[in-house]
Amino acid sequence: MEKSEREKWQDIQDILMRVYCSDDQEHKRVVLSYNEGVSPEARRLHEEAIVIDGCTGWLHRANWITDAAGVTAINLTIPAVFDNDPGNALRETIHMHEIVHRSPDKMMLIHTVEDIYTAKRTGKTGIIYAAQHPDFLLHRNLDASLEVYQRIGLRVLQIAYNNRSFAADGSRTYSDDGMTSQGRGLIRAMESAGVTVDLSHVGSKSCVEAMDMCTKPMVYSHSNPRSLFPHPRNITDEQIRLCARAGGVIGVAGYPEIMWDGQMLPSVERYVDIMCYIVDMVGIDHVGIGTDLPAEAGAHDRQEAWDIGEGYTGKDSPNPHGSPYKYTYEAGWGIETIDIRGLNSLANIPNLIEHMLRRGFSREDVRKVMGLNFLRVFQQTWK
Amino acid sequence: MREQEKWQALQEILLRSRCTDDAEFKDVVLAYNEGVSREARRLHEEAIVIDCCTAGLENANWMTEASGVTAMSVTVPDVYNPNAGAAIRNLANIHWVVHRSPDKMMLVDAVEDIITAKKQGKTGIIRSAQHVDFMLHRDLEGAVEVFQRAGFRIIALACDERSFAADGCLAGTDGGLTRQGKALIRAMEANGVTVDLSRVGERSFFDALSICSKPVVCSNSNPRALFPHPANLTDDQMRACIRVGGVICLTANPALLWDGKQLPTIDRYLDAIEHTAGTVGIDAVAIGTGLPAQPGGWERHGALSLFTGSGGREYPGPQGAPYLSMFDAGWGVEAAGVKGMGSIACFPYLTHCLTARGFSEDDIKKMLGNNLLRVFRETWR
Repeated sequence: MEKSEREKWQDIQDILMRVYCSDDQEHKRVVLSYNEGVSPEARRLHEEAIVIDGCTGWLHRANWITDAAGVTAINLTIPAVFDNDPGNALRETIHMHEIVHRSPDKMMLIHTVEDIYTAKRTGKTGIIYAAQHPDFLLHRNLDASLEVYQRIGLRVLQIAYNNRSFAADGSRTYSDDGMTSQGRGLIRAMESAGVTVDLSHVGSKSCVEAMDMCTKPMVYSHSNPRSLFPHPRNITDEQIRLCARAGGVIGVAGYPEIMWDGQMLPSVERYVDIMCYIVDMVGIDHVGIGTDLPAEAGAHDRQEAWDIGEGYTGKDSPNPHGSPYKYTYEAGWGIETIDIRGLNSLANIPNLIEHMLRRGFSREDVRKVMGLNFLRVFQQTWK
Repeated sequence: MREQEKWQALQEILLRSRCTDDAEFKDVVLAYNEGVSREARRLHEEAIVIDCCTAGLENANWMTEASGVTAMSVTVPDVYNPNAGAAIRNLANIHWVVHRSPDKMMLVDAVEDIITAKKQGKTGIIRSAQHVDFMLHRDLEGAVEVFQRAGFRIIALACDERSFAADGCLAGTDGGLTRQGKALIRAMEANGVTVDLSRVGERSFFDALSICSKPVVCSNSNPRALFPHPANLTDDQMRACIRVGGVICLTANPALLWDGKQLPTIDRYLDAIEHTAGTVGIDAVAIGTGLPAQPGGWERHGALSLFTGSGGREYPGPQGAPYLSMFDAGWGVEAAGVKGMGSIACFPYLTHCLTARGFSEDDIKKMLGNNLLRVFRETWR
């Protein structure tokens, strides 16, 4: 007898908990098996290239995922920035130092572009302090506030998440309002303190207004084209063009729900399609990667894992085609149900490079997309 | 007048002199500087002057101008709160001070910045905390790294009350340094933050010094031998402090300059300085006034609790509080502070009085700033 919808979602949630909240051995085997097909040429390129992931989260220490990923620097999104209590955010900031204390030979904090080169040279993974909502640093004097957070390491700040912030509208508020006057103050303060403006997750109107006032390049750390995948979280072609015109970079997001058009299930090939779409529109200099994948198996916050499957990404997805999880589940993907096939994990970065080469990206172009484009923006926006 | 009425009158004096920019108070305070000799003025202008304990700074003002202070350690409010959010917002407020007065104020992150402040005639702002609970975290080393990056350079292990690290001098328990307190000291020394042991309970004080490998400061304390108050330091404490090369910053707090007999005037403050220099040597003496750096800048709620709470009437100490006697002596608007050193604006007058006591120019320069400069050089990075 076929399972009911409810039972299917229960199964999906079980898989999600296994993949996000435990170091599941079956998942690990599947992930690593995709890297077995990586050619020596792709491997060499991976070893040489500066790889910067525009968006990851959930990291406690060096682990098999960061080892296999070989990423030079990750934008590590700190949790607890959604309320307006800086205390919680500060605890998470201290936690970043804890990661380095636990893995001093493999991890380091990134404060300058020079540090990224050092990470590459010493074979470490650099941690860039990034936040996906600004409410924790709200202060009557945003210049002073940004100075303090820049000192403690903040380098990339998204001006709103799905929900509305004091600065801008989120992409899932369905109100599409503009930037507040405090939001304008925030952008000025970020640019002068040396913090990169990130517009992923931000509502379209706020994004356009923000880009209009930015005097430096901005990033969409993890967003996909809405014309391919009609999800409110994704960005319009106009946003992509404005970002490129300002010298910015769009990090292609490796999140199944926002790379789902109701037809082709999420795969590494599809991920490369998105890169090609943006390259064709604005050129190779404005594309990066923002995998949005966990940096450690089992490190995900459990409550948030429940929220994802049972809530906004799973059952309640605003994607007009529904959540891809249901379809991957029905297609029998098993432990890969919540994954992008071939880019199941950050550990599959070598396989992503393999697929870019297969698609005809030159070595130089791979280097740009995998890291040099973000590096350029950091050079122009950090102090 | 009944005693109750006197306390009410004192409360009004405190509000006028601390919570408003009172014209009479300003006149009285600045009048002391009129008597400063030309020689003392030259000396004061040449010296690097560091006040290791001030509070409430909002912008360049007549007090900071008149004080001629090169660098002041400004204590960040709300560091008692185990939620660091309050501390970090208040730290941002201190950045705001520089935004308001960019020509006259600058942040001090390194010893070199103090030299720059002197050269450019600016007031340097050192950020400090008089309690540690805002830093409590499983990884104290990470916490200290973060707050050092944020700008904190001097942190007291506890102040009056108990912290997670140490007992305060008014906790009444005389508890020792905790395991977390030890880890904290190690992290502070490793990360370039000066350990402040003022107002820490005695046992915690000695415990802390037994593991310190770098100099410490006592940012606002006086000799207990002269003024028997638990917030003051015994001669033994002072001697232990200099064994690690530390300095004792004498404070212009009337309650800590009170022996139950002579009123707290600048003369008594000089006595405190002289006693300390005599006990542990001139190289261990510095200044930490404990005074507000902003006219009218004292938060009203705090001021209102002072003379009805722990700061005034109920302030512990064998002699009780000096304020009634100061009031009875007819000190008027000066009855809330040390006569002659009721404001940081009186700093030039302090230099004048030091010369009058016969201290040499070199010794005065050491006490005004060079001794602290040495400690900062050895503890910051």
